Amino acid sequence: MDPTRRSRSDAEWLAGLDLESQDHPDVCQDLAVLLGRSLRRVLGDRLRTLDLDDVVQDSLLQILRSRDHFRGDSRFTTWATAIALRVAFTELRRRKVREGRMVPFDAVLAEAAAWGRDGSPEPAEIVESHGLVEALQQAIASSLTERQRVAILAELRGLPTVEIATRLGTNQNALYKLIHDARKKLRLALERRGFGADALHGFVAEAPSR
Amino acid sequence: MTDRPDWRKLLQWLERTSAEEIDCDQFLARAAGLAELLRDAGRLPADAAPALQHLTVCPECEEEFEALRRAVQAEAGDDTSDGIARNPGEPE
Repeated sequence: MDPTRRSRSDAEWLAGLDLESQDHPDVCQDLAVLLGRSLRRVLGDRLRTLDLDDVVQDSLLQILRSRDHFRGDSRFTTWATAIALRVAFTELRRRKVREGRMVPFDAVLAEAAAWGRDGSPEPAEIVESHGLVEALQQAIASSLTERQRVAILAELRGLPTVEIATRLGTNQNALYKLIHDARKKLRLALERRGFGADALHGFVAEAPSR
Repeated sequence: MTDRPDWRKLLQWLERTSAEEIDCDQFLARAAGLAELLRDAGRLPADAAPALQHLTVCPECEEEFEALRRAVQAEAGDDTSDGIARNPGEPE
């Protein structure tokens, strides 16, 4: 019988993860099996570039460190799976960067230095957006700090936040705040140019994908 | 040479920006409960609005949450097939 098939309540999982518990090794082993199964099932072929055992072990360490944050609004195993998925996806994203399958951060840095200052939008973009894109470019130049320009452009280029945060010498939550503040600044700048929520919504809803 | 910036994507993010937003760790703390609610009720309560808003501006959390939803669905399939691993008092 699959050991993880045993019925185990959330309280039993948590008690067993306590380092002092005599069940600790068995509970960790069962959780590792369960997480490995979930990751294989959901990520399938994408896992072939990763060492699944490493991902599961890293996940277990994070789960052990943060088990006091489990709030009980889901089954413990679902909460643990959410953490394991974050570990796995973060490693997949890091790997894409290492293997050169993303725009290099240094290229984004160079591009961000001039972003908003040179290279006007194409005429078609200005016409299609009724000036919105032009106003946005000006807002990027006048409202954002250099660090905010780099962060926003790197995210637009699809760089993983773990890579952006590392290269900017910060953590992912601080990066989120940096980008959120930048988005709010840009919205405010556009509003002052007459492009409020309706204009944004209209453009986003109508503009064809490029 | 890189492509031109994707203005439309940036404008989408701006359109979806809220004055107050939760960050990725705050979203992760709620993700498991939301995935189970979606599985069980098919929709989310009004107090899930900040989490849903986060998903519209964070492609990474969106990707992870979609995977979690699939994992939860798959586990539910297992549970209904062999009736195991439910918490005491949890409805079948």
